[in-house]
Amino acid sequence: MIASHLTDEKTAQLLDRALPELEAQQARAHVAQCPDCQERVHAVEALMLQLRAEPASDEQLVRGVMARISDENSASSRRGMWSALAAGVSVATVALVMVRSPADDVGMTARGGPVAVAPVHLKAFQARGAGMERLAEGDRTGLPLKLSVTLDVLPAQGATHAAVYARDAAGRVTWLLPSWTDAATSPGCVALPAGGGAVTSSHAVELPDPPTGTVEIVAVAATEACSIPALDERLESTGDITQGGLRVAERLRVVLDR
Amino acid sequence: MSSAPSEDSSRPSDDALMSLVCQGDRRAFELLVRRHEAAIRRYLGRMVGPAEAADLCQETLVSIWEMRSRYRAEGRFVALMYRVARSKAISHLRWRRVREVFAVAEARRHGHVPPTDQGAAPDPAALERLLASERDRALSARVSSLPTAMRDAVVLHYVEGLDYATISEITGAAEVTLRSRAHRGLALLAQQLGKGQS
Repeated sequence: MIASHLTDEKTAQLLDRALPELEAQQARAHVAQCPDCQERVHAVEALMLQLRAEPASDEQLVRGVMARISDENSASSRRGMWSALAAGVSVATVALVMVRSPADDVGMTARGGPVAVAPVHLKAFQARGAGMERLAEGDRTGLPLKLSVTLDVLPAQGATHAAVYARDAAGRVTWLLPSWTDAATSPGCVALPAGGGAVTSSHAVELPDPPTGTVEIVAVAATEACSIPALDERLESTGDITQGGLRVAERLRVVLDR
Repeated sequence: MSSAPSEDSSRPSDDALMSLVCQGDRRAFELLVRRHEAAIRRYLGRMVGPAEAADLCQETLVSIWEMRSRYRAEGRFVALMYRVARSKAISHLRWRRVREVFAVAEARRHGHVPPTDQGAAPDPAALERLLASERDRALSARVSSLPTAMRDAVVLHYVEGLDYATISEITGAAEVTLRSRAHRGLALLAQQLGKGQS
């Protein structure tokens, strides 16, 4: 019998029958003698049972699905709407800056400053990593990365709308500053306040494997409202928002180091 | 742990039904919908929360109908089903973040915070529904606190009962990675459980 209590991870492995047979026997023997570990195992088993509880069948949902599949043209007509909304988006200047900064107490940080001469520019941003300590244990699952973005609006060149997105090393896009012009279905660019001003956004971004890499932050300026899904579709299909006549106002490139 | 919900030999298999669905048989598709909608809804509920699970479940099933002509009867219907549902969940989580960011930006733009229900008289029926769903929401909140990749592994393995090979097929991640994520995720849930009880 092992002397020490089971860790939560060991408990999970035991319940998943993932321990080698000898180790599993020792763990089971310990649990049989240890009230604390018995309580832990029973609590996790109870949690799993609750999670597995299957909801009752939903007749309304079934009827809804069957009604919808009789109208197969709906999806294609929706896609057409997004394409139409994307048309007419205009352009501004492009700037690029790379920032590298020393590691801090959580292992990773990056900061950037303003780049002037643009109708919309990122006045400041800060990226801070959390959960980096998991890397030491070889766990490369989602690493929350907090990004704070400030848009400083200069009402020049007719820019009335803006959006900001972050793209990580794997090409995954997270929109940091969008809008919601059609309450039901159409998130679009933020309408900029007339006369200029700051619009601030704070957002958590998860980095994929590998956790160290480059995050690109891009501000898009437009002279009229544009649809985020349409921009998103373009990013996913071409990897470049500047395709098809659409341009960016500013692009910041942040190198994240441990 | 099996790779799919258990099949009753007296009823047509998923593949047999999909063969009919490929020919446009809506009745066969309805049987599939009735067979799997609760499991899909449970999965989506754990991934995005119970409030939005029904809508995403409907989107998942409609998408499966729309891609029926590309289905190959290789006993992989359950993997396909979860792959589509997972895609819907991830997309939804992404747009949820968009809406949250917008709410903050829009409130600041107008110089006020969104209105709350403070001071409003409680609706007894609504309160009843809230209490009834409190337990499920608390569970979903615990699962939602896990990183997405870890949540995937925990929900698909421990909740949906899929083996790691099938989850690997669904997510594209290596089995050893999924195993590690599932164990670590369950351990995190157990820690939260301990904190909640202390």
